[in-house]
Amino acid sequence: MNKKSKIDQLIVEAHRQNDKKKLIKLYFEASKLFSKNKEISFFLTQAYVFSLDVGDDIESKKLFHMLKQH
Amino acid sequence: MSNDLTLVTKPLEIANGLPNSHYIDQSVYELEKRSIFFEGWPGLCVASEVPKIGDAIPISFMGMPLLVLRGKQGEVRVFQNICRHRGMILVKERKNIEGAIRCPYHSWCYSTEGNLLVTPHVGGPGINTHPDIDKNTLGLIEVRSYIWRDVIFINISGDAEPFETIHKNLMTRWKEFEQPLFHGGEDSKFLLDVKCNWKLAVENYCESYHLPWIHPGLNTYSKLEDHYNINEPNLYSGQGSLLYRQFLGDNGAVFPNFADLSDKWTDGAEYITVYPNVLLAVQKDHVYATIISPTSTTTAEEHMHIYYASSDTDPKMRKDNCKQWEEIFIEDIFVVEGMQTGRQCSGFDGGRFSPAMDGPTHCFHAWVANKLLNFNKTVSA
Ligand code: FES
Ligand SMILES: [Fe+2]
Repeated sequence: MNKKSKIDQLIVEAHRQNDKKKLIKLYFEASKLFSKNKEISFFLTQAYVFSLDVGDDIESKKLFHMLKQH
Repeated sequence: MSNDLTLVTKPLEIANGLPNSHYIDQSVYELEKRSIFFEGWPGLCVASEVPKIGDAIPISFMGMPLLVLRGKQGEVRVFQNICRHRGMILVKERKNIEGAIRCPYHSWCYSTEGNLLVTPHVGGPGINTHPDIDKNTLGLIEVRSYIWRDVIFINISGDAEPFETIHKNLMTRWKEFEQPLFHGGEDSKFLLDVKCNWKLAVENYCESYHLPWIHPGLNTYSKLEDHYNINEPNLYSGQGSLLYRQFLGDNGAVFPNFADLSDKWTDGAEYITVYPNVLLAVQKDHVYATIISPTSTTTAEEHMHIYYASSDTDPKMRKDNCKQWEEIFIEDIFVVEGMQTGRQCSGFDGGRFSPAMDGPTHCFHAWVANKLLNFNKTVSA
């Protein structure tokens, strides 16, 4: 199984468990597996939304800045 | 039978009560919803229900989903519980919001102050902004609110006179009780479901006429002649007692009194309805607020909350006191439900009031009738 489908599976699993902290991590990891700006932004956005949801300010700030650069 | 509301607004001695349709007719209920509840200042719940920062409770208020939220600075706000995107319900059950309120549909996120924080992919995948989506104009819709005696009063239409203006008279009357109130917590609240129109619960609270029959226990020490009527036309009504006997725990233990009360309250207590739906009581050692929430034309909830003068009161005494009040409120249920059933009798004309005893009930009926009459006037104008 390649890295992308592996992380896909982990994301599905984390959604099923509603594990938001894990989702932040996994979406962030996923963003690194892509090269197009659009794709990277998509995954960073997903991570960013969950960081807001759980109130992880440090993570939110980091992701917000990364998003701005893409 | 006549549906003429001007019979209701006549002087007490010759007036009739509100007609049957006001208790059983869905269209009247809808009219009340708009004219009395949305345009006025009904009670929604109490601020003690959201004690911690981020605490959120969704409440369906006469069918309208609202969200009560304690924000980061500790302030309590009420919002319409919907997302500005597609109108999805935002919060389904009571919870603590640690971060943002994330809409479960497309994940637009709002702060606990109601600001729209992010609109993911709104400009396409990975693009979270769009020139036509101005986040500043798309925050949660706040409902005007005013907290008094821990009760969160709301004005959904947003254009009623300020709460403090409307209730200046009552706030002045009870100024001495303007001091910190400590909700007794889980052991000092209860919820009763009643199968009657919300007004019957209010009316029954306004009067002392029924005390010797319905609450014989209460009345042994709080006789009918020790009660007086409170009638403030167009404002509020209720009853007062000149012989308040405070709650006694084992060995005669008492709750601490509120500070610096004048002599009036040594043996006195007052029980007043803040129209339309908040039943308040002040007594020297504890006070309470009961919010009557209409749930349909023929059903309502009674949410009772008891408060003390100190955060440090005896848990067993609190529990026993609450139980005593719950029993009293339960004693009233068969009456309000019986009157509800009675409203199906076509011959009932709204009833005649006791000129001596029913002033407070009539005061409330006349207030309701006037609200409806004035609302119809504005709508048809
Ligand atoms: S309805 Fe809330 S984000 Fe779409
Ligand atoms: Fe009663």
